[in-house]
Amino acid sequence: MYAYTGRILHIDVTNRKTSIQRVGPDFIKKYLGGTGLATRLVYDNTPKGCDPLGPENALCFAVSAFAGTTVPVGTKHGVAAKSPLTGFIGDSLSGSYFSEMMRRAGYDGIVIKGQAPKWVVVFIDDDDIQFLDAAPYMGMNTLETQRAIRERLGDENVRVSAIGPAGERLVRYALIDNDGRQAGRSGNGAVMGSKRIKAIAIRGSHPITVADPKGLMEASLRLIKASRGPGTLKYRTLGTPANVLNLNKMGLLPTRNFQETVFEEAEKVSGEYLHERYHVKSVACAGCSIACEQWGAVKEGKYKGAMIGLDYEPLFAVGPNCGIGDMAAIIRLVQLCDEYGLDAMSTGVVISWAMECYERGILTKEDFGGLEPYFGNDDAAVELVRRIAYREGIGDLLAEGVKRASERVGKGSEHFAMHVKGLEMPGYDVRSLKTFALGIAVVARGADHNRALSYEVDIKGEVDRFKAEPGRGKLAMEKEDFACILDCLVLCKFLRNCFTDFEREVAEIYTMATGIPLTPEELKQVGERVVNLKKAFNIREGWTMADDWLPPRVLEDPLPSGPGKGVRVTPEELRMLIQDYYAARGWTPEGLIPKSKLIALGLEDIAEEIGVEEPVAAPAAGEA
Amino acid sequence: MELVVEFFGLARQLAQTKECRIALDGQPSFRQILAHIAGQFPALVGPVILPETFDLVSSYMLNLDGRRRVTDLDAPAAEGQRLLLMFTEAGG
Repeated sequence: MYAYTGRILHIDVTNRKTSIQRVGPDFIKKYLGGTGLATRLVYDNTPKGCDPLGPENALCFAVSAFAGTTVPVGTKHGVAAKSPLTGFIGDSLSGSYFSEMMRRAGYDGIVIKGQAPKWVVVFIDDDDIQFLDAAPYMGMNTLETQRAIRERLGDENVRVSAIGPAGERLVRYALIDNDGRQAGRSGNGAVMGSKRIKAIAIRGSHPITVADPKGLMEASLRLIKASRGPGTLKYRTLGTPANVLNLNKMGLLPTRNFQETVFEEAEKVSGEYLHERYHVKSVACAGCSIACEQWGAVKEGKYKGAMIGLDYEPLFAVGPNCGIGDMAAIIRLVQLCDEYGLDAMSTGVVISWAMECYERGILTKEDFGGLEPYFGNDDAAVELVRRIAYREGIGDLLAEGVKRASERVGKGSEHFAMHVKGLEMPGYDVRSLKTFALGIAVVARGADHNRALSYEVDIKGEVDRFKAEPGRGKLAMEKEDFACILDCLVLCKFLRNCFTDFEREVAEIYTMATGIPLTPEELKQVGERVVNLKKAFNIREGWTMADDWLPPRVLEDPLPSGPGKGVRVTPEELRMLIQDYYAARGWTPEGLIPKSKLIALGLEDIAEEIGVEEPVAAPAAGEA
Repeated sequence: MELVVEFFGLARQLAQTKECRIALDGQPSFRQILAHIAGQFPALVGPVILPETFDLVSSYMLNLDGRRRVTDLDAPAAEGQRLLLMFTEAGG
């Protein structure tokens, strides 16, 4: 095979055994790579009902089909496991030279199971797998760990994925960092920590060959040119922080734990303000031609010296959603999350919930160990991030995620615990984004904008965003499938508007890279297949219809101000939208997948395990 | 007739202002308003507003009062509206 290696590395850290699984083009083509292949590996290697933080949960890495090739914005990898936050599929993406090095070491995927007797660094050096003592690195933050391991191995080209103190302590939304990029959502850092793996270092010496080097180079250059055009202008100008003012003006910017959607200090935390006052550089991921990440540095005041690449989602979560209107504090908070190895999105939403609990008197100053975490108190937020990472005091509760924390605290705090399936909400208030409200309710990973993607049709005005109506199910499905294709390939979503005929162009590029024939129709089916695969995993792990639902605040509290004042998603609307979506997917009204559907998608083995017989239609009047 | 146009992202960088107030006779279309803005802020011509047709480049849109996208530039604007000149691209 070209591009691919056809090899999956299996590692059991309990007994330090390794093996190689050979996979052929027919298997690879069904999942492509990234989150598709990683999810399939999880499905095949994780026993039903296992503890997400137990040794049986398989932590799976899978490389993009394009890693290390000339295809821009494709040097990425997916990470998946059963999520310790949701109990369902937890998949995340990252992009760095770690992805390329996996392929150069000779692997399309890595499956890690077991639990090491003592903390280890797994060092994959082509076919030589070593288990190094991690003692020298324990307690180090994510970036320190990566630097120290490279120094110890004496090779700057060794790439490292590492967890920080949060992953060591099994914070349920801990992330895995590689080169300052993160596989951030759904707690895969905690899964890695549960296996007592502080880091995975990797070095590869094999060349990456492609089937049609000339054709791929020409296609890559066309794509690079397009990636510098209008489709990515926003990302190249201000990066994703440009969303702050847009969403604020549209009444969509979650503020003070989603109590409001218009933030009075939005200007001071905007992409425009960041660019004027704090911007130091724009940074590209490995193999990226867009360079969207905007680095901000604080040059004075109490956060002097803080510096980080800032994206909208972490910014919203620790900023407006915590009532914090100080860009310097936001830069520091995101930096701390990255260094401790915490998903900044979940961290911000958990802290904003804690702040609301404090302001409502549900949790007291004593509960917070002397802190007074009112909205806007950045000092308290900084300290809470630290306590979460180290599970100190109230941090131990907050480290469980907002779903579990609110269930333990009770006293009505579940009403404003902003999550779906246990995953904390992203930075869009869905009450006036009716298509996205549906998308976020049904997507397998939980509250997630990147997997649902249906905010696009609402925000771009392709539909009336205030209206719930039949047909939105199909729209939500199409956006979700499209996002899934990108996540399987993997291609960055910021490239999504750089194609004129996406399926045709990408299928051609895929074949040029891999030599595997792929039609546009087959590519499209990969998206549908992998969405069904993720849903199948969730069903196997106990999913019920009640899991496809939205937080009470979204359903019961109308927006208090802004362009959407008075709007909410009613339960009746949500039920109608969900049925519309299930029907569009060809699922049963209970959200289960018919065997015939799974078989048509080439998931015969899964059809036997979780597929249901199709409901028999009631005979029409007059029929025998 | 008076209305306000707010600038975001590249448009704000190029116009060097957050917003401008526009007064025009009669009931101008959104396209006529864009033409007026192009005259007032020539740096927008090309990167944001297309010359001659006064269409917006594909990466930009006009949003009306934060509620809906303007899909027909030849439709008439109304007194007191707030037009938001923002990136089309949503999400992060």
